[in-house]
Amino acid sequence: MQISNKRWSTDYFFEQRKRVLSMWPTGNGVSLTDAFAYHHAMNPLKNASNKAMEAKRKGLTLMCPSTGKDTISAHTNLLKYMQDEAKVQFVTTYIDSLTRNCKFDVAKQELQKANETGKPRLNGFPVVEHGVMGNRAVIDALDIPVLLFGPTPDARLTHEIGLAGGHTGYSGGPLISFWNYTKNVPVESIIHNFQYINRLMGHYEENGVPMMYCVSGAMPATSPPSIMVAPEIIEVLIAAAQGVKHVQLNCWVQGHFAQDLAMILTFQKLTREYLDRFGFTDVKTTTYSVSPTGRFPVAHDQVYGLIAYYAVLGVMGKVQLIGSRTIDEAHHIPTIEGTAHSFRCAGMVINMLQNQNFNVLDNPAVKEEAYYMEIEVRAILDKVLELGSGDIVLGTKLAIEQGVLDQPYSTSQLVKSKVLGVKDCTGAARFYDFGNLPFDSDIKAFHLSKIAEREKQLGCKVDYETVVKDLTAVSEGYILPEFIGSSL
Amino acid sequence: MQRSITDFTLITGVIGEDVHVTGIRIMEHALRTEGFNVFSLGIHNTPDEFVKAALEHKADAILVSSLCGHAEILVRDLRSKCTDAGIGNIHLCLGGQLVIHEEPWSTTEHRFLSMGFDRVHRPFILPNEAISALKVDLNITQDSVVGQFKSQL
Repeated sequence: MQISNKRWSTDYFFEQRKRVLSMWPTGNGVSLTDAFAYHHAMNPLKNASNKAMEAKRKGLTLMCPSTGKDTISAHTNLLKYMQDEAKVQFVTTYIDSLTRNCKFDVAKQELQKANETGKPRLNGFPVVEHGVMGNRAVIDALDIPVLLFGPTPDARLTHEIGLAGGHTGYSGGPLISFWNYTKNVPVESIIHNFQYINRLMGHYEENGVPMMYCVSGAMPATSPPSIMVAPEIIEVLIAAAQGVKHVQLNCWVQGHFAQDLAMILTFQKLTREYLDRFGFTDVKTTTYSVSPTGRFPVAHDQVYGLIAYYAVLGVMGKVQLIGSRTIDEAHHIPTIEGTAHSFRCAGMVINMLQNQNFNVLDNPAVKEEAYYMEIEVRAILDKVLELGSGDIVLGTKLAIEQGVLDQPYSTSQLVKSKVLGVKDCTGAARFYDFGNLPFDSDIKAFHLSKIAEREKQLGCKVDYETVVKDLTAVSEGYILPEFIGSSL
Repeated sequence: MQRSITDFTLITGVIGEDVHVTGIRIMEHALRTEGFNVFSLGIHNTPDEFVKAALEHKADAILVSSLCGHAEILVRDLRSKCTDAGIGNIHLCLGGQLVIHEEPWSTTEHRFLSMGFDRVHRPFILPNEAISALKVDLNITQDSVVGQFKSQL
């Protein structure tokens, strides 16, 4: 499949669209004319882009849990509970993993069982099976914006139905879907599917309906932020080429204050720069921060500490939206009550902090992190553009083959997966293995010096065991494994 | 004759449309460090793919990871497929976030034991606990390799 970062023609889009709508019978229920009318009649602040831009203007940090249930009544009750009891300002429809993998027949069977027995069967909302009116039944019961949520290689029909059904945005992206949600699907076919989604969102924008597209880049696992920011900016450029006008930047925060704040700053700065460079000056950005999944502490009170910590970080980073993990993350798929408790905790932190306008972004440690992050991201993106002779999509395909774009712990067999991160003695993520990343000696020396400091603290060489123990340290209550059980 | 750990072969992987891979990767590393032969299938495997790999590598056990909460939909015919393939006695082990609703662990454990699994692990156990249980289950009493994970995790 030969693809590039060129805007799809109207003919090509509508030709593809016929096939997409025929993937499942509920596709026949989608009418764009009707969808635009539905969205135009909606309260403007129930639209995700409008509300996120309003938050940016007012300097507010709002909250958005990522949750979903299978039946219409269960999902509606869940989202209403989040709105009314957890007091969040955005909610999401978490798409079940069968629908995300286009196994619509199995999703249908399991949904029927859930409807018959009243017991949950699916790990999210089967957007496609519920059809446009099923989605609207949920949206109509709420006063706040609802986003579709969940990376997947093919969410085309989910978007047709979900957006016509009243959702006003999506969180996911082609590269996170490739690295973290597929085994052997070529990246170009995933990008092609996302170009469809982005073109569809662009079509909504052209018809007066703002759609928020939240890029996600790659799921971190002690990953130096540059290897998340670079793929996220690629996702932004792919979206912008297809006419997306409202992008949200997903800032993956991993627990190191200076590094996480530097990521939030650098990500915004470089996204603006690359958007402008390619002429996408009218694309607006907002930010979202969330900590990655991973092994979590079992004790609720420890998780409250983590939730509060990440809420502080979000406010200090002046992001518009924060997500949060939940107190029951280590025990089971989070409950309604567990999620509400968690967001009330985060909300309290936000309410205390956000009107203080306390600025930590000029801290020297933040600036040092931002300096290296910026030259790393530029090195990666400029190499990708060079490989693609200026086309970011062509370059991405080649860069993945060569390991110029790379991820640790990728699910895909088509990824080099040579890079690996380890924490330094303050808990920041550094490169333990640079793989084939196009970094100069200055960047490498910085990371190696930080690892040398960790080795001094440990009293031994950093090895794969250290890498593994770094991944589980937080679940045992400490930022670094060597501090577990320590006290004054 | 007593078999040592290095004589045992394991098939590992994530079942169904689930994509959560980090846990099983860490588990595989720990198992290899302990001395087991590990054949990793990665994500997105059907029960048939587990059975095929087990036959091909003459495996002693299949270790299935599932974190998406759909295990009940995905694993129910794994034992019968093993039986059909002539390896009905193979050790079957399952771990992860197995259900999407809240219920007592004993209920969850019983549900999957009665589907034919020999060992069902709670969410988020650490590698050393799973390895100790595996050694008991496979009657491995004499270690030929002393694993680092035992003391460290």
